[in-house]
Amino acid sequence: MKRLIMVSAAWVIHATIPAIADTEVPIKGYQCFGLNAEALHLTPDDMFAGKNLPKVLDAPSVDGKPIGTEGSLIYVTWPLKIENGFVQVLRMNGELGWLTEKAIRPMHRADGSVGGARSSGAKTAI
Amino acid sequence: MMESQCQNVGSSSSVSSAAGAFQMISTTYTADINGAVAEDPAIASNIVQGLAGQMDPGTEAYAASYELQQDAQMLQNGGVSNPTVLAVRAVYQFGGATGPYVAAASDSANLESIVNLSSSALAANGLTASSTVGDWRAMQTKVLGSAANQVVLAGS
Repeated sequence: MKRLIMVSAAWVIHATIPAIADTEVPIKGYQCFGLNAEALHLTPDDMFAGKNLPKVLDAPSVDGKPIGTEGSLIYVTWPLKIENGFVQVLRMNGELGWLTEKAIRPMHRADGSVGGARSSGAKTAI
Repeated sequence: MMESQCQNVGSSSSVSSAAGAFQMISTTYTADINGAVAEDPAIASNIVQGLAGQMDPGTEAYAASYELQQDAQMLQNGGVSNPTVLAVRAVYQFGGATGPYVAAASDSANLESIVNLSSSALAANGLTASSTVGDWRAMQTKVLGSAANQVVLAGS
């Protein structure tokens, strides 16, 4: 292991994205989901090395143009917007894209319930 | 790369293999120099072969540069524009799937809630469950100095 520490899949977050990082306000219309590493057959080494991460496409189609990748935390349009097996996601640069539906999984809230953590803190309603 | 965290790795009590001008551990060095050569085979004739290259500043520089480049590209793929050395450090330390979120988070964000590490793993890195991303940035910047805010892929 070349690095200092290993990372496991996150399951509760209160992170923000750059576009709103300075204002610390919830991102209305989005929720955090986790990466479904099992469904994508990603190993811990894949996760750590950032290999084989799912590609974000510019359109909900296998013919869509890749515009980036998603990692362990995924901001999805909420309620989920699913087309043709792809779910709409919000990238960290504010760009919208599409990710294969099987790449995401719900996250557990701090109280153990399932449904996706809020994007910038659990106490503020979206 | 400072995988020694700038500690005295030459001490007899050290178990780290971090060595050379860029303080890379052996496994990182090997993976990165191989990657650098694969990307540009022309450098193969200009480097010191094998682990001995780790102690040759010019050779280790190729490996360190390759690591920076790869991690910065990972950040860009994740939607982080113009990654800085500090942002790259997030990928380097927390991994490619999680590091970009640390890099993009606000200073006040709770680090553990993003990286989901055990308390022992956090403690091993001088962090606690209540540490913020800002705390982590301050720790890294203290070591990196002004280089922390330099853009890694300038001109790309």
